[in-house]
Amino acid sequence: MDRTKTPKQTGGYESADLEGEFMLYHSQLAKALYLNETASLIWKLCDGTRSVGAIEGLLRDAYPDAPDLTRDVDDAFKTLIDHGVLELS
Amino acid sequence: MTVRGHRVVPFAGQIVGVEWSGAGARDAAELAFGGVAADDDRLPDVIFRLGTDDDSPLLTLYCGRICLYRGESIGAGAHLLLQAALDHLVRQCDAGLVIHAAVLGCGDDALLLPGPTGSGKTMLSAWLSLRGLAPLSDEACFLRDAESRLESFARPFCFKGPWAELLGVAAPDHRRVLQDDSVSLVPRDLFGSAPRAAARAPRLIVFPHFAPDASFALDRLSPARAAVRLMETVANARNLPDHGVGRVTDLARRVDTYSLTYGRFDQLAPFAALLESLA
Repeated sequence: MDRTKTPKQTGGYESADLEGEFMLYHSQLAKALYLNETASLIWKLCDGTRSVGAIEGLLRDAYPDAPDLTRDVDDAFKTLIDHGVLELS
Repeated sequence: MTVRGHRVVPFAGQIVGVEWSGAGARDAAELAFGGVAADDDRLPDVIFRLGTDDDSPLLTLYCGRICLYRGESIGAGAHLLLQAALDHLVRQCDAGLVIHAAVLGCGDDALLLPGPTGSGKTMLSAWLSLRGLAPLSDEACFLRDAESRLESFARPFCFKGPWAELLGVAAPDHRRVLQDDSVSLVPRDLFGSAPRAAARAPRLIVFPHFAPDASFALDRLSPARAAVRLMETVANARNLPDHGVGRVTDLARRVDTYSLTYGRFDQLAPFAALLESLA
């Protein structure tokens, strides 16, 4: 994962926060997607102004004791990009 | 003298009419919609017409001037009528959720079994009906909002494949079952008490998945996972301002939801125990 890239939410998704986990729904594609807590946090932070590295830094500050944060962040970004809900620039 | 009749079929705030002419057409209409409360005095905007000639085995089904079926299978005509009527009712519904789900009554409450075609809703709801739950629908229900009661689309069980032997029931009187090559329409009251007016509060949601030889699994879903699964079963999402997201998330927050995988009915004891704990 290139930490210098800037992720941005893909348009067209409605989101619902359900106890820290998210449901995203794209009406035109009639597609619903589940995000766990890590992916939900990352998705919220992807406003097109922060780089992947900056987002990872924010999460590291918030969860300094998380043992596998780098791997969790990589997995979450991969999931979000694979499902087309994030685009990198 | 040719038998004639008509009735209305209300569901999800909408209404269709059904007219029949001929004994075979009457049998098809009665089996399809005999369980529907027909006390709605609105005029339907669509009328389905079934016809049989007493001297001929031919059944016709029309919607307006469009011929939907012409053939000798009363079962195929009745099944097509059910599908066409429900499609129309769902297409017109723009207030509240229509969920593709079987519904069973448990006292004043309802158990929902949502899922796509082929997930095993009909067989599981028949099995549960034989164990005391009230069969309300094997296909669809309507929820105006998360606090309201469910309205079920009352229709006969539509089995797509062998069913009597798998459920351990004697083959019923063939005059009460309509069959064609792909589906058997079986009255709900063959499996248990099937009330007509049956609005119930949603109490439990279970997504069934039947696969031959599958191991049993019953897993509770978080509200977010439940909402994702529910969105996949909303039949009228395109008609709703937020595509049903608000109502679905309300429902997912309020009602306990599980995923159930099974390969045989004799694996279902833990599921039956869960249902008993709710009673």
